[in-house]
Parts: sequence; C-alpha cells; structure tokens
Amino acid sequence: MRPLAHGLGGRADLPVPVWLAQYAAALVLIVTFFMLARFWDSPRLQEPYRGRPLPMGLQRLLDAPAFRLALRLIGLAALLVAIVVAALGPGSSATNPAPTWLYVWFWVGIVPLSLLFGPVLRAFNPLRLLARGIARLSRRRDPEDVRPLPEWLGYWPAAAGLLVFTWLELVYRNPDRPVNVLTFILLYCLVQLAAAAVYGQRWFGHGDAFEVYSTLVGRLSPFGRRPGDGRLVLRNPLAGLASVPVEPGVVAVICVLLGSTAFDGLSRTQWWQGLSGQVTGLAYALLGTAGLLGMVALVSAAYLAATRQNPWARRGQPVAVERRFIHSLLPIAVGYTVAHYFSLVVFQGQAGYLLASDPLGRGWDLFGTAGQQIDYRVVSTGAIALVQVAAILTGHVLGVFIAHDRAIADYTRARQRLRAQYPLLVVMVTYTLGGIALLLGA
Amino acid sequence: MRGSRVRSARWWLVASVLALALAACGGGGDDDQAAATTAAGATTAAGAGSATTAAGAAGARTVQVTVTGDQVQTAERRVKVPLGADVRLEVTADRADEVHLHGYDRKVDTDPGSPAVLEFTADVPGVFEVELEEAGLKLVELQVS
Repeated sequence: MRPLAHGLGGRADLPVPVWLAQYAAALVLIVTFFMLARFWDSPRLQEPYRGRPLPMGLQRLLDAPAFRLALRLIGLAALLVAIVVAALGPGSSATNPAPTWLYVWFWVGIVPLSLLFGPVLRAFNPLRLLARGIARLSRRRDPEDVRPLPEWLGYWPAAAGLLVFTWLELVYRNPDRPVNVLTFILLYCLVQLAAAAVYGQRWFGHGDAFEVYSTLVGRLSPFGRRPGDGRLVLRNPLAGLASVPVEPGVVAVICVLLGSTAFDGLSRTQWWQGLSGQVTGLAYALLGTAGLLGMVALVSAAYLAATRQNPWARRGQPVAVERRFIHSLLPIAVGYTVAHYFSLVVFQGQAGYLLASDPLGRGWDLFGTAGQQIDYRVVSTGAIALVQVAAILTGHVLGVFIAHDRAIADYTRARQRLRAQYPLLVVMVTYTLGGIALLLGA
Repeated sequence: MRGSRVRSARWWLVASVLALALAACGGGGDDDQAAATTAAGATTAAGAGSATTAAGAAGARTVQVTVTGDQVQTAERRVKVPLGADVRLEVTADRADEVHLHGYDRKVDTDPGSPAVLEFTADVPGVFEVELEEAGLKLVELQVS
C-alpha cells in the first residue's frame, strides 16, 4: 500500500472549497491588520502567571510517587504491546493495528492530550522508567547527576528526532509496514536509553523528540505548574505559552514541526502527486527528502529573516530575538497539525481499535470488532473543511496576538515595537495563506 | 499630532485591505466556473483515446486504465465523480496482480489480456487511491464529492 499522505490511510480529504478559502484568507488579513492598529499598549501575558490553584488533595494525588509510577507502568505496557503486535502480528497495516497506533493514536494523539492536560508524555514516558531501572541495576549513581547536558545542546537532539520521524512518516515509501514500525520503535528506544545512560533523566526533557513535542504543546494547556512553588493551577493558556523556554534548538524544533506539516500538505496536492508519480525507487526518496528539507528550510529562513535579520527587533535584548518570538509560531504549528490530521484521526483512527480485536492475526475477536470496516461517514466532508480552516485561522490569530504582546513587553519605544512586529506579521500571513493554498490544492 | 496621523494612516491601511479582500472574494467564483468548464471539455475531447474517462450508456461513469511495465496510462490522474454515481473501473494490466480501491476496500484480480472490472457506487465522499497492489503502482485517484 502506498498511502496518499501522512504515513497511513486509504482516504484523503477533498480540496477545501474555493469560497471557504477566500473568506478565510480575507479574515486572516483583516485580523492581522486590526492587530497592527494596536488594541493594547501594555503587555498582558509576560508576568509569571499566577492562575487559580487546583484543590490540594488533587495535587497530592497527582504528585504521589506511586501515582506517577503507575502512569509510567501504563506507558511501558502500551510500548510492550505495540512492540509485540508489530513483531508478531500480520504483515500489513490493513490487518495489523500497530502502524495505526504509532502514526495516529500516538503521534497525532500527543497534540489534543497535551493541549488539554499539559506534558502528558513526560508523565507516561516508559523510557524514563526503563532508564532509571537500568541505572539502578548497573549500580550507577543516581542518574540525575551522571553528567550535565551541555548548554549548547539544548533542544537540538529533539529537533533531529522529529525530523527523522517525519521523514519516515512522510517520505519513506512504506512507513506503514509493521516491520518498519517495529524497527523504528526499537531503534528509537535504544538511542534514547543509550543517551540517558550518559546524561541521566534530564536527557528526556531535551532529547526525547516526542516528550519535547508534548511538553511544548502542553504550554498551551489550561493546566500548569506555577513557576516558583510548583503548585498546579488553572491558568490562561496564552500565559503558559509565554513561558516557552528560550534554550538553543527551540527554534529548530518548532520549524521542523511547521515545515513537516507544510510538506505533508504539499505532498497531498495534485501537483506534487503528479511530480512524484513519475519517479520510483531512490529518486522517489530523494525527491521526498528534498521536499521535506526544503519546506523546513523555507519556514526557518522566513522566520529568521523576520526576527534575527530585522534590525529593529535586534536592538537591546539579552536573549536572541528569534528565541524570544518563537512561541508565537507554536499555535500556528498546532493549527496546521489539527488541519492536516483531523480526518486521519476520525477515520483511520478507528482502525486502531477495530484491528485490536485480532492483533496477532489468529482469528481472535477480543473486543467484538473483528472484520468491521472503517465508517467514513462519521464526519461530513464539509465539517472537515471547516475544521481545517478554523484550526489554521485560530493558530494564526493566537500567533499574531502573542507576537504583539511580546513586542510590547520587550521594547519600550513605540516605533521600535511596531517595526519589530511588521516583518513577523508578514511571515505569519504568508504561512497562513500558504497553508490555506495547500488545502485548496489537495 | 504625529501619533494620530500614524493611527489614521493605519486605519486607511485596514480599510484598503478590507476592500481588497472583498474584491478577491467576489472575483474568484467566475474563474472557478470557467476552469470547471474547461476541464469538462478536455474530458470529452479525450474520449477517443485508448485510455478514456467517459459517461457510459447506462449512466455509469467508466474509468479506463492501462498498465504496461511501470507505465500507467489514464485520461486523468484524478477522476472526479459525483457522490452516489455508479462507477465502472476497467484496468488492463500486462501481468497478474490485484487492483485495490482504497477506502472502499474493493479488490479485483488482473490477468494479462483481459481487463479487470470493478463496479461500485461512489457513496463515500473523499479522495481515494486505486493501486496495483503487488507492484505498488498508483493507477488513478478517485475524487468523490
């Protein structure tokens, strides 16, 4: 099977109707330019947020070591089941649920779960449990202080990990073969555990691509820990977003996320399908690789040009300006992700439990769903188009909002505030119109 | 004084963008219609070729595909059919393989010489791929809307 896009699935979305795309584009421009007309003059989100504390009893339960261990044991069980099914189950994604679990439930599921509850993957991460177990068995010191992570490394390992995974998902010809899913999972775990043996538990917060992704998206969650005392609070999600860390590599992580969804959109267009349909084998892989890297490079270059190269934005900042504004791209990246994966989740996502009834191909019917087909009518195509456009628009609006607020916080002179924003606004409008154009050409 | 001039200039900008956006909304519809007409014309014109997409006698939409080696011949890479239409897919391949219509999950075996035929009602909207399964060759995309 050669999927139309994003690793898996026999169905792709219809092109977004022209009128819908036009209204969306018009709205984007209007919102952006109203923002330029300046609705507020003092920063609203930059203070460390306070939020409303959750009940102490709930916090005690959530922070209890036994509870945290239980979550990671659940994560470990899920990982083991996925490995066993990928290894011993049927050899095709049409009958083996493991590819759907990886590309839909896990990879796409990270986004809504983290948006709702914060850094969920950190809570469930079985690799943290395994690394701790290995360190204890080998009688090493507490893995926390084996060796500190070099400062310059920052989030670069996570950016590399995300690039490798999205390459497998979007470029590689047979990402959905269970044997490839198995190979990826095993290699990924091996690399992560090896790195954790050197750097300890701190590694995962910077080097585990999926945990970093989940933690970043979790900044947009209404739940968070108050800076300082670590109290769990209900907060303004945008205030959480303003606390995105500014360590090295954070720009790369977000640009890879944005660039890969842009390539996902590009590879679904009829133009790209026509182009890639003419080549086979190595040329196909090279074309896809060039497309993926090209989109990531394009997104990064545009962003860096608007921030690092912007003379007005550069002045008078202790932290590199591109890192100060990168959080404004995060809602845009999340919006794109929702737009591109929504229908995959509601349709292909069903295969994850339909096929789970007979995961090893032995004729079992564990959940009574064996032999059932995906229901392609649960959501209408019109609703899908609306969700896609709404997600991209919402991401854009939040991004513009956040960038404006940061500019006001970072610069005191009125002209500098505006000139620091102009190029970034142009880039955001370009991203959004580009995203809508890709939906149109699907 | 200066601030208010800057501000009013900005509002002019907003107003002109609004006007531009509305103009864009109004203008697009005609182009779209024109494009659709052209596409329909092209389909009819291609009707005489060896690989054809045309409306059959019984109202069923017929899609013909010929496979020789790695070469796939079709009138269109993406065939658009209305929701609920009857579709007849004819695949002539130079080898024994299996034609798979994804999404609908319909399959038919091919045999060198005689065309493999798949008849179905396009009752699920979306874009679906028709693939020669063993060879991993994409034959055509079906856009049901």
